[in-house]
Amino acid sequence: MRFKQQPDDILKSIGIYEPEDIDLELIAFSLNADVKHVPLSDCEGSIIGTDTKAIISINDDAEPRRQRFSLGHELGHWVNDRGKNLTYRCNANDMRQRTIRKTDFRQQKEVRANQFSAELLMPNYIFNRYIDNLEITINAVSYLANEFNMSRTSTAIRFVEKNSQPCMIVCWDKSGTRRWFRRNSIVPDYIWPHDKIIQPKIALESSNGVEVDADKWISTDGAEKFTLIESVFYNGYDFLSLLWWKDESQLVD
Amino acid sequence: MNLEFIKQINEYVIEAILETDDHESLALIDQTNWPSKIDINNAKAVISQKIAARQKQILIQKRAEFQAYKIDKKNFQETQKPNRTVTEMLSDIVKSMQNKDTLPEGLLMAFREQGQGGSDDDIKKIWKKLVDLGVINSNEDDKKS
Repeated sequence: MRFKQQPDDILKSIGIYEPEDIDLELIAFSLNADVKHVPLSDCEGSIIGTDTKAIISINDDAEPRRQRFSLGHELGHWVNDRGKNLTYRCNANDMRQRTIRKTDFRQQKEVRANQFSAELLMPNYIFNRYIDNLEITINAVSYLANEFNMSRTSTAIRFVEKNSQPCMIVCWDKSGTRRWFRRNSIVPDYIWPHDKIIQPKIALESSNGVEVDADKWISTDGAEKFTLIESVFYNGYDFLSLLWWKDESQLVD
Repeated sequence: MNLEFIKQINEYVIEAILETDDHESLALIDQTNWPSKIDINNAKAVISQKIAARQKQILIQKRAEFQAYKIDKKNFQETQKPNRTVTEMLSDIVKSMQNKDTLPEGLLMAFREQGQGGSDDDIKKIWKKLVDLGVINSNEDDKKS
């Protein structure tokens, strides 16, 4: 995804090289944006700006990690969408947009702001150092989420994106209907998760690094002949299954 | 020996290294008058330390600038509080609306929705945002008097 300024460059320009130094208020200051944490009734974050200066308001009723992501998101608008009369009010739904809808320009900007936030909070040059040699399990996601002070969901998405091993994350609602999924570039495009799980109460039970038949999650022909490693967790709204092809034979054949 | 001369020598050295094949370069290590592996590792360590120290210095400096900015802002807010009445604030907002190029659309709409029939608090909030954005200079009248 193209940004007008790369998150990595912004962070390096202010000497940030460790996760604990990723201070978003400092980053906002370096970009000439003021940040206020205030109660907001109808949104998670808002930004208002001229062509040179911005004021960002973040809903202080939200959970702290959510506030961090929202601030990264608004900085994404500031860096990429700035111009005369910049005004955005972003709600929880905007913060969840991950896949671009080609016909919806406003939605595309929200997706870009979310990607910007993820890359600012878990920058390539720092995150890559931490994911080396980690197994793709919920333990690893929790470890990274703590190191980077992020939610497990955002961390898991980034973990999958940046991983050099084949993996996928799938989001399910309580009824077992797939909401969205992300596979990394190593997993071939013909590998698809089910649209719906038949017995969600059983399938979506929490797990951590358990070997299961691939057809539990994958609908591609022949999936029943292979296995993968699953980790399932609940984020308070939806269920996430983190899938790892530790044995790559399904992907090779 | 001046800087230009050193740069020129560096360029010759780089050029010579690039022209040498990998096996030849590696064969030179540990030979007389050439750096040993220990020398190379020591040089690497020194360079890494210098880079890390410089990165840390930049971060310390940025944090100090941010702290100073926060203190300045707090002081500024405390001194400007009693200077404007709501009527004066309203007048400032109306004046700033004449230049739509600098006025953020969201504030313009908020003012239209709230400013004319809204409470004093609404007007104060909009005025404050415009001051923070640099659209209104809150000390303009002080300078004139």
